[in-house]
Amino acid sequence: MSQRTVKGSICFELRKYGGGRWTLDSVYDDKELATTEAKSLMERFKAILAVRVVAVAEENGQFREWTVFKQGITDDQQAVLRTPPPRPAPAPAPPVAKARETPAADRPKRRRMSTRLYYARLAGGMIIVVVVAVLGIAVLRMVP
Amino acid sequence: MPGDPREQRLTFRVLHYWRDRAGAGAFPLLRDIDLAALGEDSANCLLIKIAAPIERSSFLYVGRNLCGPEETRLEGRAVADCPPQTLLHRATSYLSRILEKAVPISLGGAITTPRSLILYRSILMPLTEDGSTVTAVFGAANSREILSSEEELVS
Repeated sequence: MSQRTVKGSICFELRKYGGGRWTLDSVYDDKELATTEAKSLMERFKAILAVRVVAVAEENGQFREWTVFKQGITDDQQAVLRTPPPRPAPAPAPPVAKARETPAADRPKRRRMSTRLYYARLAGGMIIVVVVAVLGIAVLRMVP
Repeated sequence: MPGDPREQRLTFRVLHYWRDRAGAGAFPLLRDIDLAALGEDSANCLLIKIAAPIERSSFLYVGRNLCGPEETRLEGRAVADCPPQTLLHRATSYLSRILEKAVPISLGGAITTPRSLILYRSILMPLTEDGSTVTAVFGAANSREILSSEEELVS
């Protein structure tokens, strides 16, 4: 009877996050088993906020690891999600708005007419119209 | 049946039982493992009492499906006495890793015999007696034999 190695020197570590820290939960030589158990942990234990399956490979005496599955979010990620996003910088105001914001001293001064002068001009204009009308009628009468 | 009865894999049924027994602790107490509660699965389970050096660790319980064809009583005998090239031998071959990691470890593999290929999966889980140190190990293993004709098909 002989034995043969099915897997190489790779294993899959199931790590769980709860109570503010990551801890090793279990170790498998099969990715599918590790991932299945990771999902099961998330379903069965409310205290576990996140899980991760990390492949660990030994190559020439050195260990290399990379994440092959992850689910849930850690406290840090939750804090980031709770923080409101920074307000965007105000867009540059359109030219019209800029003009409105121009200091009063720099604005061109409008010529404001007094009420008295306005009515005086109005009355003068009406007098002229009446005089012209009277003169016109008079002229028309003198014409044979 | 403890754990999820819908679970088809022995290793997961036993692992979930171990998790239920562990509760909030890192691992369960040896006395909390009730083999009778595991029903038929207990025939594929084992219990080991850790000793130093680790080769002197001894079997507290070996399920009948792990005893091998001779059905030798292994309780009380050292793990090192485990017949080589057997499912039980393979299932206990990584005992030192359990002590090192102090977490459940599940490994599988294949054993080739002249007439068949035996695929197996095993799991070992730490137990304690004082609440902190790993002083015992709970495990389970099962296998499936693939005859040579089937093996050709598989390969």
